[in-house]
Amino acid sequence: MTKNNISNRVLSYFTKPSNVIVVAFLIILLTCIVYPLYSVLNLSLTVGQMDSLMYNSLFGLHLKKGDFSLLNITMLMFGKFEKDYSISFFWSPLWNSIRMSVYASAIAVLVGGVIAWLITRSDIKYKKFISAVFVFPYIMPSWTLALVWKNVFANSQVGTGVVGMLESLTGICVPSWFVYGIFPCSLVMGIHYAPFAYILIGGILRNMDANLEEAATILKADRWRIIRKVTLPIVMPALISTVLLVFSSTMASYAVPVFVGSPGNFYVLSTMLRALYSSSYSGQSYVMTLVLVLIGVGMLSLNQAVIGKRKSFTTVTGKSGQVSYVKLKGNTLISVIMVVLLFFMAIFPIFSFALESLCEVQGDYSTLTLKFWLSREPIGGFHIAVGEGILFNPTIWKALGGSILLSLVVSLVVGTSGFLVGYGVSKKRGSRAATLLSNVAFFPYLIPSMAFGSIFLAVSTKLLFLRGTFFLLVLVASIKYLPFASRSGTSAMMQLSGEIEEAAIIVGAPWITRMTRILFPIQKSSFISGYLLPFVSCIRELSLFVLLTTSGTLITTLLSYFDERNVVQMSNGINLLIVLIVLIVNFTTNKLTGASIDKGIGGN
Amino acid sequence: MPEILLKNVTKKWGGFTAVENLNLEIEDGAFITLLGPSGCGKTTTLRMIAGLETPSSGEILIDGKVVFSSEQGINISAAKRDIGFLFQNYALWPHMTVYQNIAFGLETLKWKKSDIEKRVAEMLETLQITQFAQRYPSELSGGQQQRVAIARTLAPSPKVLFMDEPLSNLDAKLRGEMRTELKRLHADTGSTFVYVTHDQLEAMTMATKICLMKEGVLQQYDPPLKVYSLPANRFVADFVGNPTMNFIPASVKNVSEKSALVTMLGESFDFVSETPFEIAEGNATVGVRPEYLPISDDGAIHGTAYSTLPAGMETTVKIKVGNTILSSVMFGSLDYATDSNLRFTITGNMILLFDKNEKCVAHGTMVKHK
Amino acid sequence: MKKLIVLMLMAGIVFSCFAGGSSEKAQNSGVQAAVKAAEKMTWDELLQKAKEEIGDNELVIYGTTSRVNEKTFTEKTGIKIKTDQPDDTQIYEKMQAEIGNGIYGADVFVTTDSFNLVNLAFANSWVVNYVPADAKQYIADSDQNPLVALYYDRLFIYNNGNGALKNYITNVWQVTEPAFKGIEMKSPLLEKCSMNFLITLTSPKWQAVLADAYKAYYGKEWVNDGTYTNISYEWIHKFIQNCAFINKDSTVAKDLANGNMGASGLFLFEKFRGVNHANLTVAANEGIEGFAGFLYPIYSVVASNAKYPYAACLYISYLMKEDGFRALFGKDMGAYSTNTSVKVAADALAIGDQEFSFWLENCVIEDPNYISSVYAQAYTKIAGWCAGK
Repeated sequence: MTKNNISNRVLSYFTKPSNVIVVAFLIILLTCIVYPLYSVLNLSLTVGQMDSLMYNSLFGLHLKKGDFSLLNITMLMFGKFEKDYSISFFWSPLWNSIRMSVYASAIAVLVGGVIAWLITRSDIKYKKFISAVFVFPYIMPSWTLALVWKNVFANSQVGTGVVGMLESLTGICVPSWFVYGIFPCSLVMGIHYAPFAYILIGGILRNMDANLEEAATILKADRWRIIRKVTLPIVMPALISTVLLVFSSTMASYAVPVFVGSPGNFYVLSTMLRALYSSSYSGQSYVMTLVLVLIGVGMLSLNQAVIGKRKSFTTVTGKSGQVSYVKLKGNTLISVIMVVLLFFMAIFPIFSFALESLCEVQGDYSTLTLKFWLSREPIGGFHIAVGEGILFNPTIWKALGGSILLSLVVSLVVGTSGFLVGYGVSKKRGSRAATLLSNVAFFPYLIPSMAFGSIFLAVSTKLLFLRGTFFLLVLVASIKYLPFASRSGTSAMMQLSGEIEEAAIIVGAPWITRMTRILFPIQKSSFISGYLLPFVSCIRELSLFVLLTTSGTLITTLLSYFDERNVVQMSNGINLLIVLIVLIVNFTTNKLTGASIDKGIGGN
Repeated sequence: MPEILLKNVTKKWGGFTAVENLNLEIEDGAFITLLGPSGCGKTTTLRMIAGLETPSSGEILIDGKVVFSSEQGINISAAKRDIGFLFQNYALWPHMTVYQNIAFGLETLKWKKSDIEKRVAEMLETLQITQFAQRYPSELSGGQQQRVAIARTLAPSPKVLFMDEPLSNLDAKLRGEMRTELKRLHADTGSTFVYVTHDQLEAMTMATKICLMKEGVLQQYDPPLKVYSLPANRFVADFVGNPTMNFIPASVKNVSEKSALVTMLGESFDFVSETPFEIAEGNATVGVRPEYLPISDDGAIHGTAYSTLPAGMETTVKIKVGNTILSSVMFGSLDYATDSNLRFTITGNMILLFDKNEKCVAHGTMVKHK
Repeated sequence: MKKLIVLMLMAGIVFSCFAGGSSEKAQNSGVQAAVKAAEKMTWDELLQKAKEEIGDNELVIYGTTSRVNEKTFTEKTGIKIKTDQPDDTQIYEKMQAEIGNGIYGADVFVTTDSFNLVNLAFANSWVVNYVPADAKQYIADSDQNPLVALYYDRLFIYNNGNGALKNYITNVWQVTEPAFKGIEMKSPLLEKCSMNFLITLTSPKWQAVLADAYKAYYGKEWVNDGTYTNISYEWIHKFIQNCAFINKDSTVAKDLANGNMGASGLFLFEKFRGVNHANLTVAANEGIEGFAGFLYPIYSVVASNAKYPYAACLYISYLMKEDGFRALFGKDMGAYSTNTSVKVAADALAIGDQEFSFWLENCVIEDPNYISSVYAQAYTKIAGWCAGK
């Protein structure tokens, strides 16, 4: 092959937009992911200034800042110093994390799967309500549910004996393990991610050819046997996907174990990561980060290995017109129970935020006032300047504006990137570059937010022009939220036959026209979901930004300010504001464009 | 005017060769069908000419202009090849109305609005879908969608029109109608049509020339009737014609310049050709189209009726001779009781002789040896 | 397409350069000199100098407490401020990332944790100490280098069942007993000052105090049976075993105020007034053998690469003045200026607060020198206990 020929090939390679996209995104993502990962690895294998002080003093060494050392790893994983250092800091939290994640996955799949089956295959009542409200727990920050759990079940037999709602209404005291520890952690995480399972499994059930089940009915298989032998195997890939996603998400979750785990002396990897990060052994926190990333990678490869081969299962025919619904015995009872449960999972938290924001004296519902919302005068009675009521408070509006602007920009960047990545991957499907891109784009999902923030703080000291800028926040959030947008973008693109675009190529429509007038409009709702999910995630995010921004610039930093200063009325009000914004944005987008969160996660 | 030339075009995917060293010349105004079983490389060939697929090597010229050359590094995009393409699944844009679908191509060509309206109206009229102009594709039947797709493709008046199994999603009746109309459109537009199909009947009835492929290799490139009566090899003979040609195992001896003694069906025959041929003595195959096996009371060969399949206009009779089952097509409606004895003849001078390599070496008459 | 991407990247870089206009390398060798000069100035001289220096720009303050964000400084001086609230780990991470790399980030730091301040910030010359001239005479020498602006205290407090329970915690050894299982505090793993308190406790001085209290409570001498290095470690281990770690002091305060009679905790006294404190009793006010809790310092220092060193000094000077302290910290309770001329507010005293001198006598106070001498061993041991509960 001549040189000329090679350069011709390279040139002709880059005349195709899909190739440019794949290569460009690969370069951008690899830089933004490989470099941070490299720094985590580097930080794990070298000692920081404080680490060196500690190690030198403990082991009589003469390490300097930046020296290579395996001490971070060996001490964290095998350190026997003072009883069982490694067991306390690493092995026992690891075991707890794994147990919690396994239980949470099981609960998510069970709850989500059952609801999915009830909605798609049974004649349960109030379907619209159930399916609309069931995604709330995912849209709302996970700790809202933990907070509600605590407020409901805390009782005079547990901890300091603060009486919760259940006890005050019924006098029932649930045992301590029910309030704090692995049980509520797993349950709350499980419920938070159950919509995930519902969306993924329900998507398949809805599109599954009813003939498959009908064929089994004709062969005289009973309902249970059909579920076991036909339905389950077909939804198995979605099931496994859910399990692995929930597993790795739960592994990295921080807020819930803090709220309802730590008071019961239940510690997991993420809470220990935070403790180590704040400790004088911060080098070890990077080892922990690495472990979390490795577990995530393991889960993802397992997912690929299992799903890769069985993907053909999920091919939808979309021809299941008439599904004969299973008649539920005691339908009304089951329906009512579902609605009541959903009320507590999804609607009650919103109520309780609203109520708390209206109490002059915290917890005393006879002192309701609107001043925390409507006061135009600065609110007194606190020992910090609270400012005006939420609706007239310039600080809150400024922070809210900042959050909304950031979320909008991030959602634009992420949604568009997801669309483009989807286009590139589907056009180049099967090629090594495309497979690499779709994997790399999913990778940020596996890095815990906190680690991500701290890595980019370090990066920003090397790249001065990024420091403290809005651009940095956008960059970090965009990479962090790309995974789901690229997934939904890819799956939407994969559903389009290549001919759709080729028909436009033939008539000479340029690339931009094809994207904006053909491809995007056809899968509009899927792609808009790709914009919606990052918006929702971004506006409620705190741990990703806390290191990179100053307090008061984002609404969540303000929320933690009021929370810390114990102005619960304001913090509850802001909570309500965030949840409402998310719900309203989701609802309006849904009504206007048909897009919804579920499509963003990968449902159909 | 457009004439399409393919020179040594090869397409490989990894180790798999989809099209191998293809040379083809498509004259201006021709109606060419690329015919073959699925996976033979016909669609790939079409897409390479259209510019939707990049060949691994070779050269493609349209209208004397090189549109692809691996040597020179030329690869002109599909958009600039001035072609139309009709897709198997129509590829109608679901979010646009019929009118918008047809107008889209003209808009990208920056036509004036009034011209677009005129042209679209004309196309709607031609394809008799005027009443559907404001409907969305999902609100149309398969046949109507097909018409929209054709209208959309023809609207910019492409010089070359490529079609990838455009009728395969239609039911038999509609398919027949559309065949007629496509042939008519070909005549009306005077464009070059390149048409991919696996249906030999479509190829036979519509094309001016058939390009028959198998596993990426060109088998025969001739007008339909020639492909039918003088297939290049057994594969071609087998693929074209319905009911298929009878292939009768035979053995050949006493070969002279233009004749041979053929033993088959338990009897001996004299095969005589008008042109000289060569064949090795020993096993061979005789190919007889069903219409050359008329049943008659004075027929020379004896057999039994295995099964009779009347179709109204003609009747296919399966005749059992020894262990061989032959097809015979007779005009009119006939009925033979199962297993009844009957007699038939081998007629005409289009009886084919295939050698051991399945190559067709001669055609001629087959008369019972006396 | 290629051009488009290049263009986008360029735009991004240009945009961020503008947005990050404050990020030029600022290696201000004049900071040391300016601080020296400022130490000799009166408030008015300093104010004038600072205003000249900073003009319409913002003074940047990083503080581990959100209180640095009060508007009163700007109201008094006309100097605009911008604040950031990293936690006690992040603030040192930021110093290292910024000053350590020669980047200007902040002018003033208001922070806790003597160990990191001494062994990281001062050891690396990231910060410069400044003591305002007009307050100097009122500040104890031990609080001048580095300058402690104020102390906070965390105290043993219990739920008194609306006055039904009295004298519930009279000896510090009580909280290591099974009866106090579930006593709440914020985890020492998450906050340096609590860890520093426990480490300070292992010093000979506090060993002796604990030994006396032990004798008073159990009626016998403490004997080292080899389980613990010394008496302090026994107390610490048993106390940690008894603790329920809560992630926020405000939550601890609420839990105690709304909980059962006898619910106890060790929490930030500042949070006392925010809850139903009629229900709570501060053990110190009834007398407690041993110690009533601990005091920890809030330091205030100038960044060694400050852009506006005079304004930075002015801000610190403001913190040390009565009106500054009152505006930022003193209007609540549980905060004590090291400027001994500033007294605790009367309304705080009315609900259980005491003058600084009282707490100095009754509380463990963070001891930077002792902590530095034993830090690694003590830290690792206690951290392991906290993690391994």
